[in-house]
Amino acid sequence: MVGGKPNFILKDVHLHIKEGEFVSIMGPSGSGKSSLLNVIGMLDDASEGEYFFLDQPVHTLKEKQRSQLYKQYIGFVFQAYHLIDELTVYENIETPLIYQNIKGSERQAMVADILDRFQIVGKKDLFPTQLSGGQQQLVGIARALIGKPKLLLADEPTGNLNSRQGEEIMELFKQLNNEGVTIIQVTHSEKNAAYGSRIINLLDGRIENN
Amino acid sequence: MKTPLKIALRHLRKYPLFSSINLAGLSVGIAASFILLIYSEREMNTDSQFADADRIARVGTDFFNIGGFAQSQPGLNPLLQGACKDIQYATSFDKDYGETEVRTSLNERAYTGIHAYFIDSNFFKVFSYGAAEGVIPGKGLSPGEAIVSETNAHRLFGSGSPIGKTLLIGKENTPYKVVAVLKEGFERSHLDPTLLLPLPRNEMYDYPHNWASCNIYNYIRLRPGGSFAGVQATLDRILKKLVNPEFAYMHVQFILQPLRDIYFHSHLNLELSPGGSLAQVRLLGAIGLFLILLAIINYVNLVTARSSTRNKEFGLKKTLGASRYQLAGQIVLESLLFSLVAMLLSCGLIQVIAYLYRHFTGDELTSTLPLMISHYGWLLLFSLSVGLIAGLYPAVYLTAIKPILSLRSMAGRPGRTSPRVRNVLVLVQFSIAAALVFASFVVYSQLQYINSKDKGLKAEGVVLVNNFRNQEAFRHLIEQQSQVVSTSFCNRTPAGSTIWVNTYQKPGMSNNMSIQYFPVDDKFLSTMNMRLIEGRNFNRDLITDTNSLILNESAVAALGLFNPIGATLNGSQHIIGVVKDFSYNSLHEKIAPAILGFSPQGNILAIRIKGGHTAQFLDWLQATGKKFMPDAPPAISFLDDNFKQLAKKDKLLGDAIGFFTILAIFLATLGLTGLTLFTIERRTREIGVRKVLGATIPDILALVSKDFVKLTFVASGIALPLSWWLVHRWLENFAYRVSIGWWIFFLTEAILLLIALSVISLLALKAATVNPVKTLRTE
Repeated sequence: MVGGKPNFILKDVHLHIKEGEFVSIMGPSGSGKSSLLNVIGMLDDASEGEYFFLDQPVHTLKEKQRSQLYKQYIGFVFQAYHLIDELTVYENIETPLIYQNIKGSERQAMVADILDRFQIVGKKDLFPTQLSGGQQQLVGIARALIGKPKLLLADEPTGNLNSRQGEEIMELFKQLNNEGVTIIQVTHSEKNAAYGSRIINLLDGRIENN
Repeated sequence: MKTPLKIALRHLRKYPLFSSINLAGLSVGIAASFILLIYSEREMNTDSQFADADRIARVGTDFFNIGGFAQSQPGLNPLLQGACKDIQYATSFDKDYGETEVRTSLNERAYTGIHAYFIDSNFFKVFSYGAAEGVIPGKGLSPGEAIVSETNAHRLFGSGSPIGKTLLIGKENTPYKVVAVLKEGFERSHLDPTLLLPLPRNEMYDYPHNWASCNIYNYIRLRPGGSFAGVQATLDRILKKLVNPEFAYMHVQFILQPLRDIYFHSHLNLELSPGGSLAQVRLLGAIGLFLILLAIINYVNLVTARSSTRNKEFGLKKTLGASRYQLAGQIVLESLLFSLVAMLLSCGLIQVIAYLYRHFTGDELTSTLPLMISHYGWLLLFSLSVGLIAGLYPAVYLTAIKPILSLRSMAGRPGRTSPRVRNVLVLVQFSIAAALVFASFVVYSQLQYINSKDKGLKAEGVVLVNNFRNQEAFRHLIEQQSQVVSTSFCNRTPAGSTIWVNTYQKPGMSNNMSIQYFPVDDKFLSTMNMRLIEGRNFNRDLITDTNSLILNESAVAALGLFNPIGATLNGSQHIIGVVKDFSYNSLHEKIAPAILGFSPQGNILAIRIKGGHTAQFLDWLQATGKKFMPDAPPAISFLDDNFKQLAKKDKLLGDAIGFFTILAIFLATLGLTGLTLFTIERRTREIGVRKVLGATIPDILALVSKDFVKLTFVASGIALPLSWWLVHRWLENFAYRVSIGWWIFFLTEAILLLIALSVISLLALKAATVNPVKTLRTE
């Protein structure tokens, strides 16, 4: 809200995303890409309208149910990685599991599994500041995937990386998508967007083409 | 010099929260600890304001196995002055019990309760008193002259000058002319003259060779170069040649006490004023140091905690060529500035704290205020030292940063050592808080224990008229009042100011025993609610009872009587009853043996009244007293007040610890608040990430408080044993002491936890409820 007049960041967005899709959201800065991602990721509320997630009316759910839904099905990847500096790679990846009340032995197995899969076993005791940007983002993705989410949301996941690192991440996303994970990414790059099965262009909070 | 000052001032303004937390902490710390330091300093320097205080001493007497007395024989001083070349002047004076009636004109009613000093011609040669008005007569007071203290001058004569005005003293209304007003300084003294009159030459004081009568205070002043050893030698000679031949069978000893030892170390009978407690002064002084330590730690923690905001400034300056010393200088200058502003605030706060202290405790710890001009110099010096000490660590820590690191965007985070030092400092704060809270609880429960302990009598509800003097008719009228349960004539009351000692001899025993004696009538036991456990009470109809005695249990035990009833003491005095031990002294001491003797008349009337109508009864007593006692109003006191008076020093300690513990908690809480604010500010991103990862608000609260909770436990672990040991030593001063229960340990830890958790939770809650979308924005 600016100056008392409602100023919609997103307006008249009608979007249906099926399970198993890989969607890229594109658009110039300020077009509302991140806001759309945050609404989908339940980090933010839409002021109007309806949002159904796996047939659940998210807009009518209570905070607790929403949080439950979110913890179970959604993983988030950030441009700035947002790893916790005080925790090791291992502990960073383990954190979501703690909040999902998963038992210690089970957590250990799950983290070992994903470390193995991402080939970062050797780095598990390092702190984030001791890693390169690409490695940090890898950890960020591992952390997002540890809870076996059905939906992976990525806000410019390669924005802070060089092109080679970026390509690796995109290949990884493609692979995950093939395994059945629904992915929605926000990106500036045409090349990265092309990895997706569908591109949504946003302009001033409206969907341009779909 | 100018630029750093400008930057410092801008910082003050730019971060109002930081500045106000810091200033509040520093100024409260400075004010509270300065009060305590001034208090300690004043107590420690008691009596040192007298010129050549180190050359002045008192001669007391220990005799008849009843303990030492602050007084000695009237004949002693003239002898000493003549026989000892070490003595320059010797002075003798007496102090009355406050019974002397003082009038300013014949039509006015008398003032009582003014303790007159009767001084000889050498008094002012030994004690260098100053005059607020008039001139102190160096050769002592001439007959008919009087000196009043400033307080009494105001009380007796109002705001006008009392010089040349007349005081009418005693029953005979003897006129005395006021020649000077005694200056009452800031300093403390064990002498407390408020009215000085010349020592009368009468048989009571002019009895040179009666070594059995100790009824005057004797002080001596050494010649320059003279020694107390010489005086002691003379005293020994007097003892050997004059006293011992007369009292060969009795133990008599002179006690020579240097003036400055009297206040803290002399605990004789008939002291001029209640003495001080060195342990108490040390304890309160230590609390003062603790408080300023808390304030300094707050400052250091807050300054280093927000180093991230200043690293850039210092890094940049270093790249521009500033040396580390220049930067350190700037930081110290800033803390000096802080301490100066805090000092200005503390000038007002000292008065506020003093007011609050008086308001909540009713004590006189802060009667030292207002401060004298010279104290403000000390306050300035004190504040600057605090500023210097507080600035040193930040100066070293903040300027150690490498410029290139501080300019890199990610390097806002302080190095690894800083939080550790900060944790240690917070640990010190928690430990101080824990120790003080624990000590407060123990002192409080000990005082409760003493108050509620069975005294063997019921002190509540007993009104004493101390100048009643056998007025049977008035007594009869009082007894008819509906509120009055019973009345008793006595010459001594428990917790009273008079001491009465007699010697008793059991048949078959060669030596006799000195035992405290209470001359009372037959209604004393019922009026005091004392419990007779064997035998009978006095009977005023039995003529033989004037020679009868009632013993307390301790007296029975001390005399080793197996069948006390019917036993005879001193040949002719029969024991007719035994009462339960009753306390008549401070509960620091064990209840001592006491013997009641029958005396149907007495100076004091004790009145037991039924609860609820005290004020009404007192009004009636005062009004009716005018008719029966036209000379002086009834001097009324309350038995429970007299007991409280005995425990006054303990109450003062309890109040002071309680009050300053609350201040310490305030300071610690303030520091914790500031620290948590900055910790959370630093961790907002982390909190956001965790929320995105599914952390709930309780998860976040637990995360932020975990470390502090651990700290409170470690602090308790360190502080409680230490505090326990100290308090335990204090408890050893009491014959009757409360046991330190486990609940006190738990309660202390609980309070610490409560404070830490409530502060942290409130702040963390704010951070935890922030939408992570806001804190995790990449832009």
